[in-house]
Amino acid sequence: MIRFENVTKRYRLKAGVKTILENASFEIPRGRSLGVLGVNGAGKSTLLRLVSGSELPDRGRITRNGVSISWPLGFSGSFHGSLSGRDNLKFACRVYSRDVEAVTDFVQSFAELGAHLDEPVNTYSSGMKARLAFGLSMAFNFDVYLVDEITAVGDARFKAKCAAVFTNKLEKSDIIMVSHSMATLAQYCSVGCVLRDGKLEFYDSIDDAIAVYNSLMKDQP
Amino acid sequence: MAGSISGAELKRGFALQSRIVGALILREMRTRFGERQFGYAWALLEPLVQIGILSGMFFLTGARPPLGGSYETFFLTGFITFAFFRGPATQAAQSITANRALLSFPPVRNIDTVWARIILEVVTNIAALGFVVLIFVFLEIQVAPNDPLRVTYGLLSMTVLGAGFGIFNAIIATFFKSWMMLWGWFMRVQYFTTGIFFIPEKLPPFALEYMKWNPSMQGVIIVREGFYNGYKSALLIESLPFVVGLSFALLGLVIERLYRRRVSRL
Repeated sequence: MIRFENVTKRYRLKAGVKTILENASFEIPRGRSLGVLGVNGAGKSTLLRLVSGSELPDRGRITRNGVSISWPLGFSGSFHGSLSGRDNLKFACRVYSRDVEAVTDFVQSFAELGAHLDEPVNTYSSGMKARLAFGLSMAFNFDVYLVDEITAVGDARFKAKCAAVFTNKLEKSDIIMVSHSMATLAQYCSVGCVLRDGKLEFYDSIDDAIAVYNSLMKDQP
Repeated sequence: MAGSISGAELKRGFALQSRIVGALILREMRTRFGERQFGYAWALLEPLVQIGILSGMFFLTGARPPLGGSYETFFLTGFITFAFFRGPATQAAQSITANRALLSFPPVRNIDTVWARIILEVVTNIAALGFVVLIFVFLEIQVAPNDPLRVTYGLLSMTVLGAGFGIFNAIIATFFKSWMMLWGWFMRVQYFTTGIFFIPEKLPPFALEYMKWNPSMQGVIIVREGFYNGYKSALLIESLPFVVGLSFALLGLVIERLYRRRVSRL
């Protein structure tokens, strides 16, 4: 169970203060996958970073009770450009205390990087980087996967491979997903929430959340 | 609830942080030393080259060293001691700003990257010192200190000073983009005023009234008092490097604590 207690998160922008959450308290239940909806700039990505712990709230506390949570997937910025793919994998394994060899073997066969695995990451194409990042996150077993607008990478065959591994993961793990594609949300998530005006409202079915979101979009100028 | 952290939690937190700092050190070694041809060897060689160049220049002037019989030894006690301060202070200064993009692994915290760079720098300094001593022994240049314990104490106090400024710099550099430029200027002034090339007793008294409050100069005095038999400085303020180093470390950590929630990591 991931619990937010009286959490406030704001950003100071040049144009003023942007409130993401205002004194919000809620629990994210385990066992069901959650789709996060909200208009552009509502703070969906920030919400994921708060859940992951890579960003701290201004006020309040977030407890995770031993639930292991991934970094936001679809984000390959954690790699050190001048290090090889292999060395980057090693670093991640040490941080999360996973077996280097097993993870490298998995990523090698999954990401299909071949000899490039020993080349510096800044020589990779964006597709190669994304494959390395996705492979790495699939090699680790997390209780909860955070997915931020994951863009399918590679050709149709590779996309199918990603979808298969991901669906397999969901038998044991939950996901919290941000996406602009309602079809993707409906496919992976059973429950939904809508972030607006510093509040997060939960809906027992993803379809209800999507309906609320669609009515919000209609009100937008 | 808040404020009550059990011993077991503390132990687990410490184990996690040690593991992450260890991982950062290994990665730092790869990025800093792994790519160039000579890698780590250059880091060990650099002080030796510096001492060689300085000694050569002063040898040509024909003057006698201010202490002892050898310029090499005099610059060893000055330059290496200064490096124990400059190394961690300067290397750690950019640890947070340089690693920004890499902090999206949630378990890795800002301050871990600072500790990693400080530890790596201290180990590198000790290795470089050992290397210089080895070469000096081989060349039969005087290198045995009169009081090894006092030399060690001097180097330790400079390490604390360097680590303290390293923590402070790393935090401040996240707020002020031009901080590293100012620090660069400060270090250049330090290089000439800390006492690598002279003993402070040779300077005019009115200047010393101010200059003796330079903690880095005090560290060099302590090391030379330990190294040279019979050298005792009337200017000594024994605890200055420790006190200044610990104060800046504490100040940096307090600022980090206060602004931790405000500073977005991305």
